[in-house]
Amino acid sequence: MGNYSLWTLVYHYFKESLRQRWLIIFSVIFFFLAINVPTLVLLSANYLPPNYLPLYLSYLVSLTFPYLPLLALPMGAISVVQEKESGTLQYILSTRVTRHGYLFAKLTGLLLATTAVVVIGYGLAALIAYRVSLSHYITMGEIILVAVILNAIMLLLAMLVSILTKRRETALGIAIAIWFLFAVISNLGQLGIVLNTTHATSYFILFTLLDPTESSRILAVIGTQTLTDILLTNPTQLGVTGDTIVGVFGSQSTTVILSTLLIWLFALASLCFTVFRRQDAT
Amino acid sequence: MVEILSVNNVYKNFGKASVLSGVSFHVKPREAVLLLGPNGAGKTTVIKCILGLLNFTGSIYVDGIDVKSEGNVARAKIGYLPQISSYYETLTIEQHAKLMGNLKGASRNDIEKSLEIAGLQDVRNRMVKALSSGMRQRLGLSIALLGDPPLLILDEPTSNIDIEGQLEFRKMLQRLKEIGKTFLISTHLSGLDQLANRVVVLNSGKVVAEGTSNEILHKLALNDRMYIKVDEAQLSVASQAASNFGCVPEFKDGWLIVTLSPADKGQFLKGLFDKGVKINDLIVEQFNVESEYVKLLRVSK
Repeated sequence: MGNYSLWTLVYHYFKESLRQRWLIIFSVIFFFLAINVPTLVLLSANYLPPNYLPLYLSYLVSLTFPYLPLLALPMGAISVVQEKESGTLQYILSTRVTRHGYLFAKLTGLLLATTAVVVIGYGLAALIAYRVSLSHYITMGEIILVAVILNAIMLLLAMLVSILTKRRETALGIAIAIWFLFAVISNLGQLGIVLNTTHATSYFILFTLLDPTESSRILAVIGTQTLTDILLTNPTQLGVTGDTIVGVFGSQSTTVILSTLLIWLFALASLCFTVFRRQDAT
Repeated sequence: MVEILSVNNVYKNFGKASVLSGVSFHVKPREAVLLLGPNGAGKTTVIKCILGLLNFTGSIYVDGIDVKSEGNVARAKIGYLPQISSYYETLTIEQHAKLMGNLKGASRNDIEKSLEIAGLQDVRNRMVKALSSGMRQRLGLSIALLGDPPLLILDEPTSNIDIEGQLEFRKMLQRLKEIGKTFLISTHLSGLDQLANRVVVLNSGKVVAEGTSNEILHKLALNDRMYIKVDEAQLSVASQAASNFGCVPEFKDGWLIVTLSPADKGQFLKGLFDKGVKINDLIVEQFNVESEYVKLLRVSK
């Protein structure tokens, strides 16, 4: 398949993604979540100290990150299965478009659309609500980068679900279950480990790293300030999971978490492409 | 002549169910081959294997290119019209044609030409979701023609459209055949046999007959059924004449019913005239090609 065809398809799926009602709804909700209205009120009443921003950003991360997967999971989950059901998948693959080309285009289109929501959501919020100074744009940029990585992981996970299922409803159900698993059950499970297991720390760290939502939250919080500042000012920002990871890995925590997230990314991408190449396109 | 499509010993299973069992057939350039069989015979599965949409064992070559190893190159030589035309419903006809045209490497002129052939140039701005089934099928054909592929594969092309649409569609296919397109048309009894040079009859995942329409009919030893009304006094003479052609005559409501091959039919009637038998009425029930295919399929099970 020529490059022109590939980018035509990427552009098509990007536009299709932007038209999706869920993306529009989520964008609006996410924007209001990101600008954080209560803070705006406190800010306008001059109730916040001048150096509130780093602390505020870390709480913003903890507030918004668990909801971020709700953008990519439903959109990714219906992406391929919807085309299987409607027959457009067979139609596209009956041309000279390869399976890899199709999946790449689909993934890139969705990734661009959802990344735009994340970047614009946080970016506009930073611009409007926080009046972020130039030095804080770097911090904001780091948060956005981690959010984009989390979004990409969730998108790939959802696409894998979409590839493996045959019905849109099934895929959506599994996607929501995955969100529930990472946002709720995972925390309960970690709590259970702490309370009931002899070698709790190692299991605790393993399960935290296996939860991309939680590990990316910790990574983004670490990005808002230096570790020393966090530990000195308010260590609860990291949460129990973050505290444990920082306690064990210390200054290597960022590298460990980032590596785990990148392993998630590459493993899921490889799995998506391998499974899609091998299965019947029906 | 080199075959443009060569399907060799193709097997396909869905779980434990065997859908194709050693299917082989070939299509030469400029031929129109009809893939005939009842629902569930495996016609669509064969087509999906040709397009590389399904994994299979065996080999399929399109213009000498292996579908398994160079599927995208092989598919560039195929224009495909699926049984149910699936489109991106939020696009207009023109947007859809452009999208598919770009994917198939068609030029702007190609896109215009294919819209013109399908008679869609005046409704190009209409949304796809607002199209009738006949128009959807025409859009499907215009997309199949994009990139000027030498081989057109049509899966049940007339099954979802009304009679008027079917006639119009057949005319369109006839015109395409005249300009040298090669066709593989899958159908279950839809009267497209007039277009076909050859017929491949598929049943329960196997090729049960293959040849020109006439060859298949000859294989089936198809006979016409004649209802003849003669004076009662001459009934025995007429009956004897039929027996001479190896036919066992039947009698019903005053009619003599004789079943003979098309070749013997004329000779039999000439014999009656020669013997002075006066024919008061004559009804010839011609064999129905499609119903005879059905018989063939039943025999092959």
